[in-house]
Amino acid sequence: MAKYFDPHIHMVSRTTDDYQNMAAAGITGVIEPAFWQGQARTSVGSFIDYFDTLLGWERFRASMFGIHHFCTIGLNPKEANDLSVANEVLEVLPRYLVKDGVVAVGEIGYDDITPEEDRFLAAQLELARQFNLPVLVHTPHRDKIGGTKRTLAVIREVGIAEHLVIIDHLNELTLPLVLDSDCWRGHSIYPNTKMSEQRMVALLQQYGTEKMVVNSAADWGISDPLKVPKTGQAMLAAGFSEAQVEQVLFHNPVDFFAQSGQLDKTLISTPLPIDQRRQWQDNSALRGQEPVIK
Amino acid sequence: MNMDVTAPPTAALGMRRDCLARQHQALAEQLDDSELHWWRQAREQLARQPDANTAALLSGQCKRHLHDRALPDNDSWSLIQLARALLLAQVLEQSSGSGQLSMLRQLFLWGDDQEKIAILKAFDWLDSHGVCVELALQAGRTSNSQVFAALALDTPYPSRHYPERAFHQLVLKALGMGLDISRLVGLSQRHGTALNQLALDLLEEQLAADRAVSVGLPLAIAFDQLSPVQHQRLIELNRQRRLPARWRDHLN
Repeated sequence: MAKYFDPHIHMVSRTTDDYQNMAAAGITGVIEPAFWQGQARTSVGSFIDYFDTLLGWERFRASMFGIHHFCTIGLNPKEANDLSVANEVLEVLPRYLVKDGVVAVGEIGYDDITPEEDRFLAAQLELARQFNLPVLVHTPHRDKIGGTKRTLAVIREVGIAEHLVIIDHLNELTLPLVLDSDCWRGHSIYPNTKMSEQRMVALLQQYGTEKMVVNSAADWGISDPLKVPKTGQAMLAAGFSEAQVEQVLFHNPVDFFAQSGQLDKTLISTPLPIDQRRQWQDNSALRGQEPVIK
Repeated sequence: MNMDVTAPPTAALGMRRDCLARQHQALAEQLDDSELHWWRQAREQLARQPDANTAALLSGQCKRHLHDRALPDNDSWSLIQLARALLLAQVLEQSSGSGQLSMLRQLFLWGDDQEKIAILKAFDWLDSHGVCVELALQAGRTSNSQVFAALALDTPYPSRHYPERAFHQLVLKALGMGLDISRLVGLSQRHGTALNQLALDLLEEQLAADRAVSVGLPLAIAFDQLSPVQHQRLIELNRQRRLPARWRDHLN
């Protein structure tokens, strides 16, 4: 069976069914970027607890279903605008960037494209440079072209190596802007918005597979955690080889985040052994079910 | 890159007292005897204890003591929204000038989404000076389209006080949420080449994705300010029948 890696998915919002279906579809690992929770947080403590969840309980929960779980840590652009919280979040980021399982700074970038977002994007790019970590950059929903151009400008202003940056949520209009850089190219496949499997295939046919990355960006909204393997099926149907599918949907994202030194490609090429007898802080995801061991 | 991020100033709100007095009158005329009894008690209690806790409690209790209904001659406000807005106005009036903004921020933070809606709808009555723009911008980051609509539609507040860039974002977000931007007060006064470019970028994005073009998108465009290249592009798209019918009126 083909192996897949979903480099952008918000698993805290998903069910154990999703983990089971993802594992069954060949997804061996995921990266969970820190992002916003659907409504604004009002204190730094909420961020700290969330970051701890990504590093702790969620990583454990993924392991119960044989999936390697990594995360990126950062202050999302929407909440960068609330200075009463954002400055404190920025202060705690360094101690998280050195934790096991953290493979990048992210997701950071622009939402409203404000001066505050400028400031926190630049500061976090600088942190990534300081900690020698890759960066996952979100591009905005509104004024996407302007936001992508400005993202590239700030990357160059800060001076972080472009090969350590992936610019995400690209589409037909913004991908060509990123192709002129050395940044990696992320695409989020959604049921109705962002990018579809067929449109993704068309981009791969037009621009090739180099540094091209695909994710589901599945979260608490209408989204599909199986969009990476579904894109694989669409690529095969369009005539791409199995090797090309695996290049785009496994090797590319893994190679990008492996630049962190925190992600062993050999290790994540196979699913984690499952032992559901294990517990996390005396807690289990089993809810009384018989533990699976395999 | 602009790194100049400063804390918002604290200043007195410029409340439109004549307008608020008219709204008080309009509300009182709609209340039945038991509602009026509670309403008077609530206002008296707030007069005695003009603090955020009391205002928040009374705002929450509106739903339990008043029957919600549309207001005659004012279909964009419900009775409970108006009652909440007027309680808020009362506690702000009783606050010191420099404390008004922090009181408003506190009550906004504590409010549930229905209370936030009432607050946002009242911004133009409460803040004629535009002191609350930063709070409005924060409020506009919501994903709740009803809350966003309260801020964006049927109120002149954004067009009166928002910086250009923020107003453009408001327009784009309203379109993204599928709101009727014909209700975005003052939109035509904010037309210009920058908004034209943003609207045309959105059009191209929607066409590239084979998505429906936002119904209200032409309303964001000053067609007489399009560059020759932009105009020609629209003519070409129209010739290819890729634009909805309502665009044709603007291109002839």
